[in-house]
Amino acid sequence: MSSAKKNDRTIDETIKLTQLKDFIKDETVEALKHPEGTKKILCLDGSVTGALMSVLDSTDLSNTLKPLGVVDIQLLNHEKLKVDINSPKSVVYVVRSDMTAVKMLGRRIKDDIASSRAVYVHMVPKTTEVCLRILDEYGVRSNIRELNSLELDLIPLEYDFMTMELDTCFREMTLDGDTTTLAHIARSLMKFQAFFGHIPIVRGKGRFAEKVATMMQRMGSEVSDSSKSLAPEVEALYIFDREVDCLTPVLFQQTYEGLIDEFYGIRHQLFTPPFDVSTEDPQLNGKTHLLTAEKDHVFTMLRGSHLKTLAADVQRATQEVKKQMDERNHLDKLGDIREFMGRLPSITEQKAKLAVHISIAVQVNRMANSREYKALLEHQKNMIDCQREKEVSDFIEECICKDNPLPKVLRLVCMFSMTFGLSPTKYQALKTQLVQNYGIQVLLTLDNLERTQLIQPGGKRANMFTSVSRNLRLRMETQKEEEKVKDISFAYGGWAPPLVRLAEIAITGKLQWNAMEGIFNQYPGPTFGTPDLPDDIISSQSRVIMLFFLGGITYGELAALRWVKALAQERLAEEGVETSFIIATTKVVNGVNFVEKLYGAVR
Amino acid sequence: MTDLVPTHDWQPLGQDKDGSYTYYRKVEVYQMKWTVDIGECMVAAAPYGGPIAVARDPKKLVKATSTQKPMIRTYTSSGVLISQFPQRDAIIHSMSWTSEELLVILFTHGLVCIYDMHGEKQLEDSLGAQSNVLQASYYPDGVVVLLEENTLRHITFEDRKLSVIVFPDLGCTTAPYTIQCRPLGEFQDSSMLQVYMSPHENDSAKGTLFMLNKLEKVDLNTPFQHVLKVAINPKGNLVATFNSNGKVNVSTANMQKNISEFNTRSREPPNQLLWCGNDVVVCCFLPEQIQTDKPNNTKSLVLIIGPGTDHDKYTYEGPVHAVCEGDCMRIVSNMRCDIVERVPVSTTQIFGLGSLEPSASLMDAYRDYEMENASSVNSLRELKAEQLTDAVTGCIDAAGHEWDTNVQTKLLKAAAYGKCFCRGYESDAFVDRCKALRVLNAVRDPAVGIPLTLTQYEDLSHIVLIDRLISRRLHFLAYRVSTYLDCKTEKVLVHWACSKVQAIARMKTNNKVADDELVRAIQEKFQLCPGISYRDVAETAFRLNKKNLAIQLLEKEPKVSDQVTLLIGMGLSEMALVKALDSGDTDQVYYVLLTMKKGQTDDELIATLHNNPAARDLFLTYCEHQDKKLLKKYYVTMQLHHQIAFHALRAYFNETDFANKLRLLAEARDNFSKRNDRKQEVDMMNEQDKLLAKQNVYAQNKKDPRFNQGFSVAATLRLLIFHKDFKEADSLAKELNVPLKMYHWIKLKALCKYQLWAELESFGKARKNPIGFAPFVEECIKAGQSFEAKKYVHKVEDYAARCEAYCDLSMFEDAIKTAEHEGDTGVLEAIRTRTTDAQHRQLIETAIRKIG
Repeated sequence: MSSAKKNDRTIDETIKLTQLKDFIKDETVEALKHPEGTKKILCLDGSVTGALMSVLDSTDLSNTLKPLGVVDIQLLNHEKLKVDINSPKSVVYVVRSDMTAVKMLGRRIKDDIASSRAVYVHMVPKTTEVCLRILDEYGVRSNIRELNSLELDLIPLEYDFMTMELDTCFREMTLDGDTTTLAHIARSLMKFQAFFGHIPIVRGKGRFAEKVATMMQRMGSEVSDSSKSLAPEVEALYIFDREVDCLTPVLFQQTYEGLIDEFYGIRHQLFTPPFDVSTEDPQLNGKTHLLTAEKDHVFTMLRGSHLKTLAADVQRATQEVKKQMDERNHLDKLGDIREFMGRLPSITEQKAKLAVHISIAVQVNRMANSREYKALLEHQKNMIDCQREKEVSDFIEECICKDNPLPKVLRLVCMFSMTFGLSPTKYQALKTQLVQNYGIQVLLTLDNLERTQLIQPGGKRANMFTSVSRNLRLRMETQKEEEKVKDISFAYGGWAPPLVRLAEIAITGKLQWNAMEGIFNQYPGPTFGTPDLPDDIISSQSRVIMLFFLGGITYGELAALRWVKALAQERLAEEGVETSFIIATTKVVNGVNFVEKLYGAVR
Repeated sequence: MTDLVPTHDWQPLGQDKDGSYTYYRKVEVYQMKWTVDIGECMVAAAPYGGPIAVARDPKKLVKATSTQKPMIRTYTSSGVLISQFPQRDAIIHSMSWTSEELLVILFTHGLVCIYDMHGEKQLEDSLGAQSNVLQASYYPDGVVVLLEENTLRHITFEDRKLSVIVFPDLGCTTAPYTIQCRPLGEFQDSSMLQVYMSPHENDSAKGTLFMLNKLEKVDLNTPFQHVLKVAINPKGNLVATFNSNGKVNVSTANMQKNISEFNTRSREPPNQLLWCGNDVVVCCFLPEQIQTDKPNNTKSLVLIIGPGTDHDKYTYEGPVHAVCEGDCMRIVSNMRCDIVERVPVSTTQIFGLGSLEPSASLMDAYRDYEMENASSVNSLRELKAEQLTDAVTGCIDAAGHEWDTNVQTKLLKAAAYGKCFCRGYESDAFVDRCKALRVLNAVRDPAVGIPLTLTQYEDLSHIVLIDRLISRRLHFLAYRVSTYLDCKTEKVLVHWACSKVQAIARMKTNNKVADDELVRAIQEKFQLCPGISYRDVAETAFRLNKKNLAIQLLEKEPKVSDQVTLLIGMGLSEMALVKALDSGDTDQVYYVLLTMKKGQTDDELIATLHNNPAARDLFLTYCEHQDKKLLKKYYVTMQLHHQIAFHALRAYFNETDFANKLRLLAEARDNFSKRNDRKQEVDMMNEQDKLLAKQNVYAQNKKDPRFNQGFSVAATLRLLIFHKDFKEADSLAKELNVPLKMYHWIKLKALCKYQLWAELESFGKARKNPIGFAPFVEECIKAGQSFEAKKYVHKVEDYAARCEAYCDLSMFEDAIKTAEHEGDTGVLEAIRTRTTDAQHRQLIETAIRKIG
């Protein structure tokens, strides 16, 4: 109950991210409406679908876009446009400006040239030189009637959470050395500042984060009368680089939301349970649910719940809903009845949501308590604690022998390398087994993992891991009573995600920057930041702090962050400072897609 | 009040709808600072108080003063010389100014040159006609030209480009008296252009006035005598004609309605027929045109004709040149520059003799107030609230139209005084007017010489005015006006800097100190304006062959894209690459690299990439997609053997042809073998090679194409087991060094998957079993075969695991018995959590007690 109240308050306090969202939404609608009044085919690059759905608040794009004249939505892939004689004479492409997508675009336009269809292209988030060059190489640039940029960048998903829906950001920066995304990010943060004022303090950790900060500075000097005239609404921006900690994303998750993602996958906040959620109302089965705090109060209570406390939390939620329903029995005055009737639709909706979540929780709980998953969590904990190396190593080998899914095995190998460290002989043995079981293409993937240092054969990882873990209190060796966990490590069952730890240090706001810098420096990678400003520049009564996670963040980390946030808010509120936090990232990731994006995919 | 504004020379010309007179006045704006005799010259003055171009008139006899080439000179409206430049060796037909204040010079033989007012040539092009120019009728951005063979051409010079449209044949045998074009409103489409043409009396074609456009020729059936001159008013709705009988007629544009007629009693057409505003027609007669009693008349006559029969005339010493401004007329003579304008209603209301208007009362009251006369307030009290507001508005309006700053001040002070008595008066209009006047007075200064009226200023917009100040190189004034009106100053500063660069380039001495000094000066000024672009300045420097200066300036450019494109344009792609990389903007890096790729050899490119790792990564990513050949070439040149190997391996997966696959594999292996740390990969390639060969054989022998789908060793083994060829599976596993443990798992899982239970049973009896029997039980259960599982459960070695397996198979008694036998209470406790059966729980309790 207390947490619910707290959240309600935060919704009012946080700066109005909806402004930004409405702006992007308007721009998007305007772009897709064009050419107005004609029927058209919309051809979507898979990687922008999510962003588009989020921006348009849509769970079904074809319904949402019908009023704009879109009669047919197709996915951009290697195949030709599916058309017949009756197909519309215009086609609108919305394509991410990366080479793979643009190549498919080029081929598709070329294949359809004979139809003389009017081609409109929107590049997300920006038309780049390379894209134009590739279109030239396909010889189709002159066939495009209009080529525009569509800035689908920082999309507010919740009152305090934004994502850029950039799938391949981590791979591009660490593996390909392609920092284009960083410029996109910097640009989107500039756009954010155009809405909410110049952010006086920018600090962070990691080499790519530093690059983004530098670019922002430079872009700031390019524009003359920038956002500097606006009163700053956000006091500080902290940018954290995924590269600083690659262990957490490959870990197996343990919170409600994380587990749903782990077992079934959440795509762009949408989840379609592959099982029946209700026996009473069969209509609910097979329905897609939007997992967001804004529309689903029960979910807000459950999302960060660790699997060990899940049952209790579900119980708590049930009681709360029941209590609200029970109020109808104690209504004496007409006014009270009227007030209750006003709330009734939302209560009824909550009740329905609760039923759905109970069904999901039952399924998730069953999966999480399976022997297989328990074994995974057990060995994961062993690795974090750096103990029972032999057992863990045997376990991984067995997983390979058992032909477990490759992402799972790779995650285990990465974990092993980042915790115990991989000796060259050990790695050679694993490599042989991996190749024998999964095929020789694994070599390319392993090479990628080595280059991104998720696997470091022969690295002296273990020592450093231990010391850093100790310094930043990342490991919680003993966890007696889970109910009373007073640390962010609850989200991963005794492991505090380092980025969240750094964020915690940053937002509790007690430390001076040079002290904070000292702690930040204990982790590898550059630390950078604006020094402390004199007090009078920042209003001390209300503060907004933005945390940007470059390269992705997991649901587990989000749960831990929300927890820190609530704690910090409570404490600062006692000191009379109203604080709110905005979390932003390039994409919510999980272990599977994090590793899969690094595959040595055959292009 | 007469002391303030003279009203005696107000000439009533026509009446307003309410019967009040419309007055016109002539205001002397400047005493000309020049020593030009316009009688000897060809003169062209730009509207909106624009510059005046003067060239020698070839048709007039002039006493030769020097042997110099004839010069073209440009002056401000106040007669200050702007520039002079030599005229081409050709006869000028006529000159005019474009809306951008560029000077168009049309030569008789059909050449068009466009200069800016400083004599910098902007354009030179030919009409493409063989014959000479007879007549030309200009409008702001174009001209209609009559050629000797009686054809019309319409020429436009928009965007500093000449385009010629040929009109259909006129059908005239003799050159017409006159042509006059009439652009329609904001049109820029030549099909909309209309031309009045008045055929010569000797012409075979009958009729007096025709209207032409690109497509047709219409006889307007005018009742006049031959039309010698035509003028169209600024609005474009009225046409004035001077006819051979000496009459001036005003008609509607289509000539359907004759509005007024005035007899000038002159045989000869005036030198100029033009409009002053939209209601009044003006005829300018030069001295030689006027027949007087005196033999050597030196006076010009300017005849102004109002609607109806009202008229007035001004005489000037020497010739005059009149310019039609939208709302008034400018008369330039050798000595003076005058403006003839309609006296604004607000002014007549205040200063008109015996005016009883509120604004006149306010003015009176203010005068009383100034003289410290207490009755001042009384006369104001007589006014009603809205009358007072009108009075204030009237004074503000009148102030705007005055030329004399004293009068302006008085009127504004009166307005300021009056608005104190108005409740809740919005002062915006007052403030705006004050600002406008301040700007107007500044540009009207004789040194600047732009005599703009308020109406013209509002029509032109302050942005254009600033542009015009810039193009006059009055940077300081332009800057002051910009800051005063809160406009962007970038344009001014950039233009100023460009002019500085041009000046230093003209000196033609490469003086590094001067360059540095200039850069410092520019930077100092540019600092006032954060984000300002140095690009144009640098480009100017480069164009003028000051490469080093350009580079120095570009260093300061904040926008990387501007730096990069210009550096590439200067041929400094390496430097552009460094700049692009520094910025972190990959788009710019790609731009440079792709440009380099076009212009450089592969080897040069590779060398550049080698020196710039960040650029290299980006470019190789691009090559991976679009240019695999170059990618490989890079790896080979750099001797990155493992990269070549991986490259081959990637190609291997895309290859379907068997022989090619083998070749790529060999390439990968050879390259791996060149490195010491890739021994394992070499072995793997060899094994893959063997596997590939085997798979090929299996696919044929077993007639199963799945063998050729690029399976891994394990998958191949599974497929062999599916085909029940255990012998071959065993030998393949051995040949490819599959660990025994792994092979056991593979076989176990495959047997269960394909439901080969008998085979599983015999497999269970194999001599060696490195994985134990727990997996057997597990896999059988997974396949839903508890019956099969039970065959192996007793064989599970570890008792704890065995108990677990028993529980999985719901064989709780066996589980309890085993645990009891081993005396392990822990296991018993574990069993208890698995069963709900009371009887089993009882058994567990007993067992625990027994052990305990």
